[in-house]
Amino acid sequence: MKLHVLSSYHLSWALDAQASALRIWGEELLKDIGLRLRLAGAAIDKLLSLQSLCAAMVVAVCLAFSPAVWADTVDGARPSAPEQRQTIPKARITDMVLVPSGTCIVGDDHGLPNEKPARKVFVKAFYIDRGEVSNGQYRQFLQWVKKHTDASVRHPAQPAGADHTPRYWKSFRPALLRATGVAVLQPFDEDTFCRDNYPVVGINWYDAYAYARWAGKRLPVEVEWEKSARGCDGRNWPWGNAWDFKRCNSGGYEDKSSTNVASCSAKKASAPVEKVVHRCPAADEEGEVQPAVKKEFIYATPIDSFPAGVSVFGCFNMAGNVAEWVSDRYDPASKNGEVRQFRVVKGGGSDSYPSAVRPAARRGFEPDFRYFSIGFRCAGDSPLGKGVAK
Amino acid sequence: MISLKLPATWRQRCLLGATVAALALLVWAMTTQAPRRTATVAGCPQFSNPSRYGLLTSARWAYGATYKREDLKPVGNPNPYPEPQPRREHPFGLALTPDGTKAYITLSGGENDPGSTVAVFDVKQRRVIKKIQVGLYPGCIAVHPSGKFAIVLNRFSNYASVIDTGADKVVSEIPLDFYCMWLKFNKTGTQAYVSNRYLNQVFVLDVNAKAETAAMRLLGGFDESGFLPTASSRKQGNGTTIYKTLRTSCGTAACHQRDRGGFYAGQNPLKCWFSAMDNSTPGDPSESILLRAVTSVDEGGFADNRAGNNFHAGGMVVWRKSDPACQKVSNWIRTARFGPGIPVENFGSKPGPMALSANEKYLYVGNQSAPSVSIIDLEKLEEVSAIYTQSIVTDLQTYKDSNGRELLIVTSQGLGFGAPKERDPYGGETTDKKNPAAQYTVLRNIATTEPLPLRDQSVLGPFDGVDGTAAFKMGDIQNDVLVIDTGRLHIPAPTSTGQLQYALLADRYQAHDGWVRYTSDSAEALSADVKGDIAPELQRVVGAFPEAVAVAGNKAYFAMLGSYQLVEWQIAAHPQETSDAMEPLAVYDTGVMPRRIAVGAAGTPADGLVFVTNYLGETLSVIDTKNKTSREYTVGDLTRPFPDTNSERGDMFVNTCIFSADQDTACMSCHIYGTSDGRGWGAGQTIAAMANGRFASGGMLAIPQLRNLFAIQPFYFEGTHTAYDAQLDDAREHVPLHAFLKPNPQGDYTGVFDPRPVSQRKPEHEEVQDKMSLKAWGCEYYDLQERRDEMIRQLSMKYFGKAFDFRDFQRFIGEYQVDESRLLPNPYDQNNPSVRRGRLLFNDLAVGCVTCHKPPNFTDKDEPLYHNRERVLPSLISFTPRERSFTLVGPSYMDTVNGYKRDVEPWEEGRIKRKQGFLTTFQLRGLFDRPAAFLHHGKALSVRETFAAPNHYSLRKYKYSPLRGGEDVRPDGRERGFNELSFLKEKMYMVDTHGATSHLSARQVQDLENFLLSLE
Repeated sequence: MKLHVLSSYHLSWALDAQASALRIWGEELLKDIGLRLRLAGAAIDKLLSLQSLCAAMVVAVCLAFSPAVWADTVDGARPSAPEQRQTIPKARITDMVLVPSGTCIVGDDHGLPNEKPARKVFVKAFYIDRGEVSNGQYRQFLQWVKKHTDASVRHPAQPAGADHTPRYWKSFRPALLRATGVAVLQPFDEDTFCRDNYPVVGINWYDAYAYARWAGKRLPVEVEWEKSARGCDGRNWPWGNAWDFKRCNSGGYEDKSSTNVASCSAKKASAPVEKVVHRCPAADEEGEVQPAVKKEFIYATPIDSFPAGVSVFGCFNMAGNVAEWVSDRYDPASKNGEVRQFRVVKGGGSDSYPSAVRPAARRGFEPDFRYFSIGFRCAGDSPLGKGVAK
Repeated sequence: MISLKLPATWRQRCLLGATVAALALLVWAMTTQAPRRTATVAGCPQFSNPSRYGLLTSARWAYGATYKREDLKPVGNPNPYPEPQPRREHPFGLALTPDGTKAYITLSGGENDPGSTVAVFDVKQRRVIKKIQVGLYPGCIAVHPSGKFAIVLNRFSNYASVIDTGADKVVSEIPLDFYCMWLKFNKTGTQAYVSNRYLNQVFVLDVNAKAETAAMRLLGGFDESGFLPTASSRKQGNGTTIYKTLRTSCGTAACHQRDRGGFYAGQNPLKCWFSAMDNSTPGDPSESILLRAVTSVDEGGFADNRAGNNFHAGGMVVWRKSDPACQKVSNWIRTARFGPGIPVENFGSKPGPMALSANEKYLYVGNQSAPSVSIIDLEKLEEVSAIYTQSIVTDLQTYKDSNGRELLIVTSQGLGFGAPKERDPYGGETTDKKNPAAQYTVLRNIATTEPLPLRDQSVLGPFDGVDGTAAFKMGDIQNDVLVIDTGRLHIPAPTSTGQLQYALLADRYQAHDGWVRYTSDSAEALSADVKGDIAPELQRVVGAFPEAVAVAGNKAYFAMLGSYQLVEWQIAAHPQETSDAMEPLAVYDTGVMPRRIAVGAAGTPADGLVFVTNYLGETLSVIDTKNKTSREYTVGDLTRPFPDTNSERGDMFVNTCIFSADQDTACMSCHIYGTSDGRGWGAGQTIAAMANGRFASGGMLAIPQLRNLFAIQPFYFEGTHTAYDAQLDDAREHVPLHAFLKPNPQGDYTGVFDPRPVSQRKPEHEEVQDKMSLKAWGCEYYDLQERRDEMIRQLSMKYFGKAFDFRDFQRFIGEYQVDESRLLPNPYDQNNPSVRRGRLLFNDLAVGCVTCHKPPNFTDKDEPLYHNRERVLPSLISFTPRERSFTLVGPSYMDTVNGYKRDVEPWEEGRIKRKQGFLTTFQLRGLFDRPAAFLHHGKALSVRETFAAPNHYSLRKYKYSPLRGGEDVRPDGRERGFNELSFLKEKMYMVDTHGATSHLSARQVQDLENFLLSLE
């Protein structure tokens, strides 16, 4: 196993994560087999007539041996089109984790209406990126597009003339603001969203789709993404059910300590950052005044930041940092009668509140929508019979 | 036993008889002629008739009235010794002739001293060549497309003035109504549209260009011909008239032969007609009390609703919906419409600026209370949908490019209003004390004003309001420009209940193919601004408070009222990115408080010129966009230079943004045009605290109007402030100390330090926020104050010609607050019978309004409400637990504690409230003009909601389900009665805590509401 190790802490954490994944994979496989046999038997028991019995036998056989996913999604079915089912090139597996087959809980009965109901689904094994796609990775894709065009990877519905350049890699600020002097006071500059190890943002769904295809992967289905984040027990956040400001990059009024941005890479988060000392004295339950704490960052942090918030499968930043495109459609019809072709965005970003960075949270945007806190990660299908990611 | 002995003589007997008769007459007069609570007498001289339009109007629309030219009388100033002020003319409305030779400028004057002239400005000579006398308080002026005449709307007059542009004199007047605000001609000049603020409608005018006049088209109203008997129908015993139907069904001796239960169906057909209209909703039989009161619960009525407070005469159902009589009345109601114009949006929408679509199919109407742009279908002459903007619209224009794409450009305020941004049920909106994201009250130690320890605070539950943006920031005063591709708007069909729906929710800082919303360039520029929740590419609105927009070619010009600038923008022909639909290009200086723009046409003497009226500056700016120059020319009265008095300095602070650290903030940002922006605000006083001590905004307060302040001292919610009582509390929000930790948009003051030795440093004024800051910052606190003062000194030197400290503004703002009442004269018909009935109810002790809302200001500052236990209603409208306010302690009190001697009101020791959560009574003067965010928390969205009991049957259906922060705050689509203790859990609410109104009939509730609207 080839490991990227910087510290003993990370080595032990990585080994633990892999062990957990193996254990879970094994448990789920056993559950999977048992479930199929039970359902097959139940189907036979319940049906009495000869015709029904024959149909039931056919159904039972299919259930027992079919590789189909029993995903109970509304809008996003697991892509079954041949071109979307990816066998991941071996070279690209190293930055991915395996999520083994098994049931999980998706949705949230206590969330917004579009998250209801919470339900159990069975998700077949798949691979998913450990972290969001970075600027560095995306740069390689763009270079390839410039050489070869995107004809072989773009989505059929992609508007003509798109060049896949992220919004913030082009000029996005009027020149007048430099003349008025306000530009220096704004908390961003032309490099803020371009750094290599940071998630690529300002890309739309078509960009994400094309990149995934170029990479030999695909966009995850919503239930895959959610399982990667919540594990199998349907926890509120990747680390559990208790909210903790320090475990993810979220927005609002919370304070974030710089120690939580510890990165697996050698490079630390660099400028621009906002160092604001909160001057208002705090009082804890004992009435003691607490020292002020610092807020360290404004936008997304590196793709491997917040290790304390990784999911049970080893994915970084499934809550917060950037929200992520997935492949599913979102509510094809609106109440106004117009047909919408929105796509689902999951997970919330650096500008979202605790509730909005729950993995169950979902929003819909037009596929050509771009935003400073929306990125993506890729998924791929498990080569049948192969083991854990190397 | 009493024996009566008859008088002996005939003379004595006659005298006795006459005395008895006189007594009998007197008794009869007292018992039958005295006004009853529900009495109205048609044709009686002391009452006017109601209108046929289904709502309270001015006297002009009273049934049977003939038009009478009228000017409203301005309201006086209750302050007996205001600071003497120079007379200012306040240039306001602006229009250019198409040939570019002349500009017409309305000189509006002020609310209490309105003007009545229009200045004619010669473009070539660059001077005023004539002044024309028009009506009172002129506002908008628009030149007919032919260029031959201009129409001036006079807000305090019920007519518009028509000026012949050749002779420069008034040649005719157009009967309209009071408070006509904006006028828009169609392309050919055959029609004009006028927005009316107090009726919340758009009027349609048919223009006779040849005669240089126009006539208002009267729309809507109840049909009298089908109701009232005519000469021929009388011969048939009133035949098939509605009157006959009602008389037969309802007008029996035991029932409504007399006015009973708010309805009359007796012998007088006219009186019956008025009564039927009183109880009907034009166009909507299902909402009309006339039918609901007599139909069964299972058919949507309440006749047999014995479980509730109101049912019909022992629960008697009179009609089934299938009854021919019921259907007849129902059809009569269904054919009616509100009038005399086109109503827009929900109650109290206050329509303002307008723009026509290029194909003239739609009229877009910007509203200044409802946060939206209404869309009127000009073929149907009715509103069909709206665009939700979340903040009021100050102006709008349409632009069509060479590709046929039409853009609607809207200027507005920021999305945020300081309240929490998103629903956060797993985070801050939780009652779980262990949740680190939970928010707490900020109850204080009364003696020290320090917050109590966390263990003594209550954890707060769901937010009072959200504003739909991402994260909290105190400096949520922003300036927005929306650009909407109208070709992508889909007009949705009404819902199954007949409600209209919004075609677009443009309530996010996002860029889409169909729309994009820009905001201030300095939205995240202050050191304490929460950052990272607005897309960077959208922070590009330069300047403050976009008041007006004009489009010429592919350029748009924005008058930035707050920063005295005209900003030129480019409209992109083929933007590669949706966020690049428009881009600011250049900035020009204007005079003080620019308000209206006119752009010269190519090939005329005004080619390349942009004209801007400067309301406070008394000038007209002429900006040469080719040569990049800007010059001002006097059009008003600058006999004394501006600013000349403390009040005028205060006016600049309050109503423009130049003294704010971010160059974006003014009092007017919330107190828009002296009133409010129709939203509750999570301002600095309404706070919650996180467990880690960080303050967040948890609740909402309504924004009071800046009117009649002298008379209602002490104000603020708990009655802690007088006019001079250092509006520093709020003024500090413009220049918070944390803005000086780093450079800010006004400059870099980090090199400024307090020169005093440490031993001599002492806080001048310790508002409670600063007490905490002082503890945390230590000596740096004084340096920050010095930096703030340095900034104020520099700015006041620039604009006043003299350097003042921040503390000096206490006097300036105080003088501004009391030198005028700024109350507007009331346009409603004071003799309307509903108003008269409402007055009786208001004064009735059984209802109780007058016990707290005492005339003349309809408030009671001498009796804090926690002492009202002896009154009719012991309970109070209570704060929700979130609304614990800083204003428990008046700044004057803090000055007294600190030994600081002021030179304004040195005798004023200030106030401190010993009990938290109790309010003084809000004044009711000027209620009619206030945008819809009523009660202390700003949650009541109509006047009726403030006093109606929950589930009262007088509560009406909304035209649009109201949104606040993008959230549907009335899921059932109906008004909500707030006459309850709203902080208790829903199942435990008690009614009748704000006046006893649950026993009133629907008509009585309407009467009471109409009386409140009639208050001046």
